[in-house]
Amino acid sequence: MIKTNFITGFLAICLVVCSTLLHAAGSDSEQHEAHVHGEALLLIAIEGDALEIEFISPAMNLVGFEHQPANAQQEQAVEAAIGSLRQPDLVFSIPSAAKCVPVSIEVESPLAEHGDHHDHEGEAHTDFTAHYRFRCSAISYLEMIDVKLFKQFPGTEVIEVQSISKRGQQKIDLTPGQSRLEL
Amino acid sequence: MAILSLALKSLLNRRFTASLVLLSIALSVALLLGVERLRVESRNSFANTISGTDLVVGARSGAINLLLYSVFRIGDATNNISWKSYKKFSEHSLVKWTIPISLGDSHRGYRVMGTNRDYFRFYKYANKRSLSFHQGRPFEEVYQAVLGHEVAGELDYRMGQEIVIAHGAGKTSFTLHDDKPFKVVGILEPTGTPVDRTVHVPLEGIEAIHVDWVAGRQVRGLNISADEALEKDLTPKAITAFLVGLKSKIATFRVQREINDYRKEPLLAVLPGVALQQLWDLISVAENALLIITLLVVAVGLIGILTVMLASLNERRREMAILRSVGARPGHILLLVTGEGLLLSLIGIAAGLLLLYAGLFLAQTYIETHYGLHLPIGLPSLREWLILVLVGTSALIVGLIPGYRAYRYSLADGMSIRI
Repeated sequence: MIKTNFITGFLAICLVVCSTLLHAAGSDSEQHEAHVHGEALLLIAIEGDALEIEFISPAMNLVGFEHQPANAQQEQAVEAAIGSLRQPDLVFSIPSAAKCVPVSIEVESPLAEHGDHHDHEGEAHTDFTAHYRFRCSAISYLEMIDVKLFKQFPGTEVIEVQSISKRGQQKIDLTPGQSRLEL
Repeated sequence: MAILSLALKSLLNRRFTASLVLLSIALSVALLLGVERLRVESRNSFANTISGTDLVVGARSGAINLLLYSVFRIGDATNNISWKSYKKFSEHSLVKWTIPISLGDSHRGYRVMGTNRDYFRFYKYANKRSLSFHQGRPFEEVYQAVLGHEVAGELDYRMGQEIVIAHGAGKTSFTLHDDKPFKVVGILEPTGTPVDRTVHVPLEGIEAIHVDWVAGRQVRGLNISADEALEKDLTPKAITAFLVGLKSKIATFRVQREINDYRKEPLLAVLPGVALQQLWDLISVAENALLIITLLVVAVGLIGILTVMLASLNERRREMAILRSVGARPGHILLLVTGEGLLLSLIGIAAGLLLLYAGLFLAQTYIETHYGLHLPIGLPSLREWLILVLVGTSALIVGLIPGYRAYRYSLADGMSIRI
């Protein structure tokens, strides 16, 4: 039993080390963002009547795997994640008093497109990004945003929020128990 | 009321032990409040140093590291960034202003910072306050310097004086750029930030004092005089970092990403507010440890009261019995003993406050000059009052323990106690 554990451990270490080496070999001058499973990044900027939100998350948190979908079930999971991200109401709750209307919604998934994805400018990142732009006619009422991403994507444990608002630049870590962001 | 005066007199009767206990309480309370005040004020001081800057850009290292060396002059840069990269981003369509920063030299222990005139126009601290001049004006020529308020005050420098910059950031550097002195043309108003402890010179000045230097040493025989240096191209090749103000705050993340993804040079752009928060997250572990230690010190002080009171109870059983015989009820005995403990703690807390303010008063100048931290002497904050109330309440609870024992004794003991 101990022996098996040892071998598994050894294999795990080898996998980590080997993949790092491969990664390093493959990327000459490439830039890599930090990528930690369970963690995601939410960028929020408010100015004038504009509210911009960007959500960047490892695919693992959203669909549970980070390779091209191999079967119909996985394809469905990717489609579902994109579908949810395209509906801002499902992922954020913005006070209705602020009268925010979405102007543009862009969702990018590393797993959605089929075909020769590996040659995509040599980048091998597996982060979903969702970019939302809102116009808020009563932005002074925008005092908080409730982040519903934890409920929508239970694989998410921590969301680091960086925000720029009238209160200046802030950073706060949200968790499923503390999902409300004061602005 | 009679019981209170009795408690006071009883304490006075045992003034030596009582004053020792009082001292331990006072010291622990002063320590607790001092740590709390230091924590709050150091945060304020950091937060007040930079205001209105959207991004800080430097060589790729860590966000906290970059913020510390570029804005707070703590530690050194891991690497410089090229002038070309700086030029490129300073001309970016979304960028309103930039302030280049070049660090690495010093003047008698104070950091020398190379920058340009935009620094005096755009740098803001505290609540978007601009720098203002106590005397003089921004530098215009290569060999001119503007001093922070503290530099001028501590070293007793006047306008028009010539100063020599030392190579490196040490307090006692032996390599001086003494062939190219700088003339003081301006002294800034105090800001309560690291600006006060900085000597500002033009970027070209930094370049000029290093024209006859190669690889950190002055080349023998290659003496280029101050005037000759002026004829050379004094555009810097590299700077340490730059601050960025954007036309629109909403573009902050976009510009940040663009800088971080810049392929020609590994750059790092951080949001100062976010990096500062990261610093707090890091420091809060140590802060909490410190808070726990000081709370334990207070607990030790309170246990000291408890020990002394319990130990004296046995000696005082006859006293209690006499009080009972002249009509005191057991409840009175409880009140007397608990009141003594509470009185002792309250006087201790008051003495602790006094000690704190005396300490602040004495150490204020020293801390300000040596650590750059301004500790205002103001009334205790809400949090500090809460701490005091908490200490007082615990003292009351602690005082109840000997009080209760005295109450039990007074019920059981008659007049003839054998001790």
